[in-house]
Amino acid sequence: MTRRSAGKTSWKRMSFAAIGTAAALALTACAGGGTSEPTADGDSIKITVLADVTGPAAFYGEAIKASAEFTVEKINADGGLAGRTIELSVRDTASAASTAASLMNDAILDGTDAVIFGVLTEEALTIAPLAQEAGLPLINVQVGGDGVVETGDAIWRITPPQPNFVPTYAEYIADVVGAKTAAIFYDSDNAATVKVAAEALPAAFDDVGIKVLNSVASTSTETELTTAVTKLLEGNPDFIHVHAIGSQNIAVITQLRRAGFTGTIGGGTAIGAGALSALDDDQANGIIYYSSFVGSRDLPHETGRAFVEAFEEATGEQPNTFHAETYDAFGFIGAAIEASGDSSREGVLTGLAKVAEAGGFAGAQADPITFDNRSAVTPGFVIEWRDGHETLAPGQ
Amino acid sequence: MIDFFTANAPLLRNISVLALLGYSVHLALRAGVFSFATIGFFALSGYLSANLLLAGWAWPVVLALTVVVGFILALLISPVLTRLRHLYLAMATLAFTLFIQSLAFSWDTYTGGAQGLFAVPRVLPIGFMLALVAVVVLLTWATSRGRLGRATAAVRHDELLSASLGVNTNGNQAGAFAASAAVGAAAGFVQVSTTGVFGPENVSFGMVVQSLTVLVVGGALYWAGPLVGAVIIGVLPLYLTNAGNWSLILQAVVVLLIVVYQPDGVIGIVKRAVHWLVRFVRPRSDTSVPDTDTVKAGER
Amino acid sequence: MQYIINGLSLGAIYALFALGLSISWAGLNILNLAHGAVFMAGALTAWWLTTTVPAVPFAVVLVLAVAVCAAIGLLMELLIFRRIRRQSTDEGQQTLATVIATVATSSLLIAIASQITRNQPQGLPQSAFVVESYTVWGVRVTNIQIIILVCAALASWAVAWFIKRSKQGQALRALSVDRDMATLLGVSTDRLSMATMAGAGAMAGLAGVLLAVQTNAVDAHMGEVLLFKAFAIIIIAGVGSIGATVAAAFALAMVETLVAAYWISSMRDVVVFALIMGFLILRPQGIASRAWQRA
Repeated sequence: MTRRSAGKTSWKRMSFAAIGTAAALALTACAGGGTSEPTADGDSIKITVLADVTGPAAFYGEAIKASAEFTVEKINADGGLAGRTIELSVRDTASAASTAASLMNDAILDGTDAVIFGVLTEEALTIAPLAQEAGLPLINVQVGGDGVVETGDAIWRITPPQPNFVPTYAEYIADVVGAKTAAIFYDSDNAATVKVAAEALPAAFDDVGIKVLNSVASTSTETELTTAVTKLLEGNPDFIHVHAIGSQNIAVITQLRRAGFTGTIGGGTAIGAGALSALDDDQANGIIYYSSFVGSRDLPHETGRAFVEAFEEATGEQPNTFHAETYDAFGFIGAAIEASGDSSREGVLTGLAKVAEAGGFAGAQADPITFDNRSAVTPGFVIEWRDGHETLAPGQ
Repeated sequence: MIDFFTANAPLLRNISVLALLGYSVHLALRAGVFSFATIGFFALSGYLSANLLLAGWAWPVVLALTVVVGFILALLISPVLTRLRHLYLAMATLAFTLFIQSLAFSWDTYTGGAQGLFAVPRVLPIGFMLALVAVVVLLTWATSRGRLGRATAAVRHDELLSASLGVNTNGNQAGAFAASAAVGAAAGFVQVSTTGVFGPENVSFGMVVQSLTVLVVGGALYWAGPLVGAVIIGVLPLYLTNAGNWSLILQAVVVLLIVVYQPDGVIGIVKRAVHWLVRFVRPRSDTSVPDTDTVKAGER
Repeated sequence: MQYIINGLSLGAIYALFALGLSISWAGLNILNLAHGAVFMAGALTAWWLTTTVPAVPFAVVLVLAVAVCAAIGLLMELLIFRRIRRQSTDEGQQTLATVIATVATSSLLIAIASQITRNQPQGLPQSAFVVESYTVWGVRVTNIQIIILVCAALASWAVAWFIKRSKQGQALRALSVDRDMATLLGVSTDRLSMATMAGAGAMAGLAGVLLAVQTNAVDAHMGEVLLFKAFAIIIIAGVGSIGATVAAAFALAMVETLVAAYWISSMRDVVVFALIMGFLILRPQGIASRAWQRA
């Protein structure tokens, strides 16, 4: 290496290094900073909604975003949350834990009083410790896995864990559907489906006297489903429960019908919220599943009916579970402010605990929604898909 | 200054992990080893660190242990490498990573299965994390120069010729692969000890794609490539956060454009720009041709 | 016995899919990680056509989907692979750039598909293709399964003929044995690449439509899993060998079906990847290594 070329090199290299460092710092400063707004005073409350609007969980994230916007508009028009105007901020976590962590950090630093998050557990596990350390109340929508609310007293879940509804579901199948035998299909590589379909459901069936003929496990990426279908049909069960992820549900249901299965088919919440609209009516009619909410005008509680009516009027769509749960998250915060009289972070925090202790509050999912270890508890409903939308299954 | 760190802590953590992953691939690649095993070592170290930290071990010990385990494991596997070329090596290391992922689902006593491990004590201070990255960057730069750097580059270009010139090709490549594994293991440790979570989503084909993207966007063969790439890839989603699904499309397009039209990555673009600026400022003194991939010892 | 029929039709889809991948790897040294996304594009096109335009004859849907995928393959060659070939300085760098480019293309196609399907799994309307089953000796066979088997047979035969008998096929083989020599002797890499990538795309698209009809599941990520299975098939069989690839495809499908039927389905992935690693370590040229592809 001659001295001359070394000199040229270092000139270029220095300037290049300088540009590089400057650019890097600028990029991180711009993207990471986030808005810095003053903490809410007594007239308003700042709520941030973090949702997976893009990525694999986008369908659910979009519903949460839509419901948040509807809810805030309605509440602010009706006079605010316990008299305070809601300042809403919706950010997309893109189904990525790293993005969620950055956005949660922004929320902590910009004076947010409460955060609502949905839906993936892996993201929730990453952001919950951050929220807990900052004393920022975090209300989770969906987030079915373990360990989230256990992080600390700032972490709540407005969606009842799925195993909650299994006894009601099993009773309905035994009493109203009249099934004596059943087969179960599930994905073994998803914690939520395993908890319900491999553990809670067989136990519940046992309690109501339904005999499980076959329990068929698969992986969520499996395309070879004909074997699984053949096994499910062995012994001609009265009822088949399909608890898979995404497109597998559609595939299994189609093949069951094609194979001539005329019994009742049931599923987990993954087939709810419109996933069944991918099927033709004659394949999908009569399929039942459970959830904490259904967008029906026949709900037994007035707060639920009022929500359905208002939502349908404002958006022209039937609300699904995710819409209702998001609505209830805001309702929960409102009840908290009323209980503690203070809409700051600490006020909401103490208020949530007070509401839970005092027996819950009335929401779209139930009246009242109670809490057990900071997770919501509701009676739940069995839902039937009919003619392209969700209905309250008859006979409950 | 401290404010900057707290305000951007999650972002800095993400960038650190991405940078370490990028360096892991880079170290192997610059010796001509097409290894996609980085994420496999990332996963092994991640789960190991999580289990040890949950059991209460001190984090410096855990870091040292996982790095050493990764290094040794790689050395044990490396005899296999010498037999496979390019695409076959890529396939084998890819299969290794996916095999680890499927193990992660099945071996749930240690890995937590589909749910993964969580509530791991987040004990790594930000200062140490950044220092670790700095050390890796420095070591990469140092080993890219001088005799070792030239030998490595020679092996990458033509194994046969280098061997005939007396370069220890097997040793060089084995060392590169082992270093790659060690850095990958460090990345796994950092991921766990800063976020407290580790699960199968950290071991997916998507992560492999991310580590490659970081490398290629920055500039695959430049010592600063993974760092630049990590900053860009770490920051990009936050800019595009309101674009909806278009953000994913845009990110894919950006990577595609860089790979096809600017294979030297962002550093290559900047170099060309600086070069052009220099010619503009001192038109007659600079007569050299813009860099191609040919080896210029000491210049990378 | 029912399981054997299931395994056969699955194997046919695997064979169709793997053949395209094998040819592009053997002849052009392209590890096309976007092949799965092209497969998905075929299924997606079929879904879009049948749900937007009422009463489309299935033959039209099939032809259009295949054409779309062939076009995607062609575009990839023209915009991406050709450009990389022109500007790369050595084989290693070219290989790396190609692999990463195909990965980026795959991400792009999947992102576009996610946008179109609104991230929800979709199904084909029953009117798109009426599936009828026939029961022969107690075994249920559907008409779609028969079509799949026929298509796969025709395609394999066509590819085998192309490789062995046609001039272009011989040129392709020449390229893979010694690229520089072949080009010196007048083989046009550009034209061959266009034909190969378009053909591979077409076969992937065909497999996509057929699988979509059989399982009635259309989803932006449906190609990913298939991609890795195809790699297993190709490596076990030996890259570039048509007969062995088809045989390995059927073998893998049968093993999967039987494992799912009689054992635990969740071990399937572990087995597949262990197989790939094992073969690459012990016998990288595969079972039927041909002279025209070196490992």
